[in-house]
Amino acid sequence: MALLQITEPGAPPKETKPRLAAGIDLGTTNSLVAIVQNGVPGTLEDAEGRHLLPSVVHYSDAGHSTGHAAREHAASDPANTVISAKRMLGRGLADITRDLKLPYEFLDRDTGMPQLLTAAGPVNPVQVSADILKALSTRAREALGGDLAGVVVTVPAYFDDAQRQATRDAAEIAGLRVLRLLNEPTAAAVAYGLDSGDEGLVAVYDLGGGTFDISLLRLHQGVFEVLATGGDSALGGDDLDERLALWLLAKAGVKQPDQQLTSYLMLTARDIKEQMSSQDQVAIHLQHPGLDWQGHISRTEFDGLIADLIERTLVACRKTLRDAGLKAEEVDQLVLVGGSTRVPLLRQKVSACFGREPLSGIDPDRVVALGAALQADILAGNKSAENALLLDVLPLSLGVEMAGGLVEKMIPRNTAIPVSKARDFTTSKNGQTRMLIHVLQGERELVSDCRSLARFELQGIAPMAAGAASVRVTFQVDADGLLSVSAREETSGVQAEVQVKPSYGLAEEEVRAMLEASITHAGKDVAERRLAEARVDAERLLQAVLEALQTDGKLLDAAEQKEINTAVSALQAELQGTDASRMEEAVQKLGKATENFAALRMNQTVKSALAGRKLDEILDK
Amino acid sequence: MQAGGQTIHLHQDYFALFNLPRQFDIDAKHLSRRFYAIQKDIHPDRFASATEAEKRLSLQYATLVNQAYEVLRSPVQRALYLLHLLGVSMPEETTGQFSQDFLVRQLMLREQLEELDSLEAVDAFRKEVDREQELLAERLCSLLADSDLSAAAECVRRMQFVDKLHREAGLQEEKLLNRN
Repeated sequence: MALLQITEPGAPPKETKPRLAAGIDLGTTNSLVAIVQNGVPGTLEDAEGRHLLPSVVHYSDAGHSTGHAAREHAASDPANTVISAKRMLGRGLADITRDLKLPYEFLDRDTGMPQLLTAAGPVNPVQVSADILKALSTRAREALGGDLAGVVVTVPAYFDDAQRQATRDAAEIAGLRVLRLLNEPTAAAVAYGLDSGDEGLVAVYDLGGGTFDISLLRLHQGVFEVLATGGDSALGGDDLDERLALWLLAKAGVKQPDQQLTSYLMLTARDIKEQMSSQDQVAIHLQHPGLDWQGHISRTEFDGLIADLIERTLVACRKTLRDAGLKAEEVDQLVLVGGSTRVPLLRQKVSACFGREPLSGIDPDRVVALGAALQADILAGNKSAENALLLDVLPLSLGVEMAGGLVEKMIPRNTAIPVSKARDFTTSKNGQTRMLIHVLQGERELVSDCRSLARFELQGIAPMAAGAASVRVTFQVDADGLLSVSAREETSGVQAEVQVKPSYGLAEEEVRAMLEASITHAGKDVAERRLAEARVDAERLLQAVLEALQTDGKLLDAAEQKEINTAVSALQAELQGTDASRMEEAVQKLGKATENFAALRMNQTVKSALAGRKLDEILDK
Repeated sequence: MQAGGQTIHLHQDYFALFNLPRQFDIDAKHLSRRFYAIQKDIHPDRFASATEAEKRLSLQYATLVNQAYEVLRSPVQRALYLLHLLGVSMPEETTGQFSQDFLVRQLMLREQLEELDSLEAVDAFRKEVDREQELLAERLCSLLADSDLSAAAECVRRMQFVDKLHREAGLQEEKLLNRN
């Protein structure tokens, strides 16, 4: 690796190379990766010229394959071919087996993350997603000719905390640095609107393979402000296929299909659905061991099968409009996302609901990945993007369990993120020394109707009369929509803090172990990998600090200046060596030495954001 | 606010944060423009490649700015916050202090609300409630101008009452939407 060149503080910074970044649309059915080259976003294709990577992984005793190669096994070896892993992310086994009909065998466990039994051993949905992400990032690395500084991974806006956390873990296991989890509808709006300078209200209707999202955004001078988001995390394009598959089953007179036949019918149904987008009638020939049936389906018959599903999405649209306090007529632009939005009945109904034709011009399959790539480019620091900013919201209310199995809402849905809210709670029994804090997400009043995110215990409360203790619980949701919770007993100062690891999530150590396993599996050395990462971190920090000194060094007094310079030199010295832990230590020291500097700079930023020319320019527009 | 042992120097109240006069009547357009202006510079997206300390600070600032915006944007929350800054402590919601007229009208509206059975009816109802809220807001402005704080406090309590009706109209609407 080339040694990093260090500029003298105060000297003009050298031209920096663009940082390589990619946007990834990790879909239920298909996934894509996109990058920005010469300011233009584009999705990347594989060697055969295919952009879409089927979100399928096939496991065998020889290892695993992804994408098209894996999908070929879907009909012949369904038990080892994992499709729609996204639908299982952040879910418990009970949720999965209740809501989804899947041809997999699961490790019999009551709690924790579900494990699928495959020929390659037990595999969890996070691992499957990581394998898909790895295939995509390899594609991006090859196209860009270097390691990725970071990625933006998109998630359905309606994903809860557990599902978001699981997605983040998958990226980490794939060895990727996540710059941001971006909501899919927001990404689509970015792809359509970032350079057009459009103003007004945008509705993004996103029917993915397994989820439905509706988001309402206001565009104003490059600010994409999400006003409200809603949807249904258990309704997607796959459901349209399933309706059609059931119809085929009945028509062909099959009573009890086995797993292979079910997989075959689902694939055939998807194929028919795609043909129905351009034809009024589709001829069908089912051929499978023990089955040979010919027939056809008309547009009217197909519409009849799916009409109520479409109506369900429209109800969610109307609710979300209501949440935002808006009327359908106020919507200026309509964006459709997802391959299933090509279905004619759907386009017709959605257009009628919003009273306007949808925007076209960007492929609904690719629009999310393109938006993610644009945002990744900005976050990596390549585009100054003075005017672009995404302001998103919390999709589902967060709360804690109260006595009687009721949920006390702490942060209502559609609150702008990042957000922090604190609430005081008290003990219900005399002498109570512990308090169990159960964190929930959802809109219903009963604990049993909401998603359980995590439970943690605050211990060591001094014994007092019931109601005398005062426990302040603080929820912080960051810009990725991820929650952390802390609790503190005010009189004794006892504190508990948890990064919310969902009930069906992975512990930090598990993520690390899986990452190391995947490195070893790829024939690489864990220690080598750690050193490479330490180097990247060190270089990133050095660059940030040197740039900061360059612009704002004047904010520091001589003593602070000296302390930072010493830490910079120490880190530069470590960078010449090969000791990862010493490098990490030097990174920590420099980070600590620059904390106050960071605070000074931030204060200055806020002041200058309001005072002076900048604001006047904005107000004059 | 604590950040890694450093105190963030944000002594300003929410009005000062947005460089707005400390008064109930504010220009909503100015508020949102200033909100965007600050977020454009301090949002965590601006610090995705920055040091950990800067990321943490940016998260805290963006959180504070969102909170301030939420409070100032809502007339009722803004009124409560303003009274808090003026040193008026607001007791928990009680019905005792309201005039007979106000209570009777509220009861009537509540009965009306429960019987609304179409989305159009909910809309019309909400318009009526909003009009009532606007009148109260106007009254609050003049009471504050006269520095009549105790009357202002009662006016804000009424606003809270009306705001609750507005929210309940939303719940009624959701019920109707779910029924369809």
